[in-house]
Amino acid sequence: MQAVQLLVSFDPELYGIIFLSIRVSTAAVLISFIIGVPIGVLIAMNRFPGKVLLVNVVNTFMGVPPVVIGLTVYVLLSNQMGLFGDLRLLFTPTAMLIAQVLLAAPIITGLTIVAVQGVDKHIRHTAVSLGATPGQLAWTIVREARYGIGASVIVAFGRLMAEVGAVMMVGGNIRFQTRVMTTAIALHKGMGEFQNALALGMILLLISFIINSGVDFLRRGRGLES
Amino acid sequence: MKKGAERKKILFLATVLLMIVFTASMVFSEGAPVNIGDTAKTTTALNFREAAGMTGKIAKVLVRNTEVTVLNKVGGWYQVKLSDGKVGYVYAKYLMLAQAAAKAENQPAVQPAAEPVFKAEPTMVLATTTSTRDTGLLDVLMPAFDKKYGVTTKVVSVGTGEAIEMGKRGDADVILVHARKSEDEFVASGFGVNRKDVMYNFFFLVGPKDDPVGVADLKTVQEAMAKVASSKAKFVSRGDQSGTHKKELAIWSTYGIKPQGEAWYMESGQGMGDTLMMAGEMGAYTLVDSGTWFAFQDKVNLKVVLQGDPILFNPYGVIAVNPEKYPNIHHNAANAFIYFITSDEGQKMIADYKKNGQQLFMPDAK
Repeated sequence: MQAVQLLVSFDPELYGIIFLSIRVSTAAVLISFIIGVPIGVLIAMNRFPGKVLLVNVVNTFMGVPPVVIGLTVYVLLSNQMGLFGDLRLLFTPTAMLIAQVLLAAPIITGLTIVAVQGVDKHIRHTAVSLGATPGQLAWTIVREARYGIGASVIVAFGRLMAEVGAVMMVGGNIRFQTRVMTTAIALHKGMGEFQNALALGMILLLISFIINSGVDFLRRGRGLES
Repeated sequence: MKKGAERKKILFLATVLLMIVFTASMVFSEGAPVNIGDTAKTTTALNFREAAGMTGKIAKVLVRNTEVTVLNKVGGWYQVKLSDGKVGYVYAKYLMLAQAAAKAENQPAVQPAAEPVFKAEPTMVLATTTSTRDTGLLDVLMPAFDKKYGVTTKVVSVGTGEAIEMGKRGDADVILVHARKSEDEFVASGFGVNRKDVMYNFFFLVGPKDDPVGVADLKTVQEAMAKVASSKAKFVSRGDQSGTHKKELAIWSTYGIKPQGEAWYMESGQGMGDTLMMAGEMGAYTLVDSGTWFAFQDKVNLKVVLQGDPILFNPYGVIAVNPEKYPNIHHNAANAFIYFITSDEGQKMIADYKKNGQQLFMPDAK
């Protein structure tokens, strides 16, 4: 009930928090998509020495605890000790974006590898025998693997929206600046305001549901079309 | 005739008044007078000022039992020299001859009070502030308590706000917090019983080492923070309703400053250690309790820019959760803990707890 009340109250602070969550996570997923899909396709379609090792590394990074990523980014961006401290990026949305890309890119890469490898070998052989160039071949296979790749986007987005450790560390949960849904929930819990924390949790669930439904709708739409 | 009676009455009143004043002054002077050249000790936490009088800038606050050498007497003030050679003024009332102080301390207790017996429950939940955990004090206190009373204590370390909420919900048996106003409300609303003073420390205003705003030249923390606000220097706030946050809000409100939402004002919503590191990273000012500061001062690129303002006094209290509200509360263990932490043994452990050679908390249980 309070979740609804909060939403219809049109509190600018709340909407700022929601908007920042969506903005950072969406941008991170898009960037990860641009990085992860080509790499995943390349790894899946080619044979080269060390492929198994590389796939294992990617799979490991899919499961890295966000706090470890957060810590790494913090150390790199820190003004006191970091390589990139001069950029003064720590405690900005950009720092959160960097951490989230590091979280999401391995997920999209790893799941793309699985999806591409799952494409029926006959399709590949047919395309090659029909004289497809490597580019056309890749495009055909990505089209066939689109469900799996779409799923990777949903998984990655879900993980980013739900993530609290890394954004807390590198974003700093600064009010009006880097506070997102998850860190706001942690804060309200920390102040003993369980009502607010639960309400925010409900809103977070609702948003995830809407976005996943949207992505799913897009996927289905294209599926029917072809 | 009538006039004479009135005169007598006035004379009588004057005599009574004089007697009161004399008695009072005798009580305060603690017997032995302090003379120039004597070594004396402070009898309480005492402001060390740059000039005699209440308007003299406070250079620092001397903890109880600090030894000073008396150089001069100016009205109700002594000019004193500290062990580090600094010279300043303290209010005369709160100095005591070192020998007299030693005597008072060495006097054996007339009757060593028998320790009360507590039928402590096997477990206890202590909700306390992040500062007591971050400084490591509880790592010393709790094992001693657990061993003595056969209790396994679960320490939940949160902000003062949440610790009090935990007490209100019956999720904690005893709380150790620092926000006097909220503590009194907690007791007044019937959730807390047996509140006791435990110890105190101070808040410091810390900032970048070059102090870009020039806060160090100001007398009071209100002026200093007003200057931070007016020059839009970065300031990191806890922003989590903790004791430190409440203190900070109270200071802003003296000049009616509302920093929330300003670009230079950052509410971290995190614990003291994280907030302090954030301020260090960003070259910002922040308010910090002395315990956390001494534990972190080597790790951050900051320095104390203002201290000693009486407003920055930070007392800790311990409160048991009322068993009438929650019958299943482990009240005996809670009372045992309150007894322990305010007993000579617990108080001595607090006084002896040092980090980087600095005493972090001053015991003040009565």
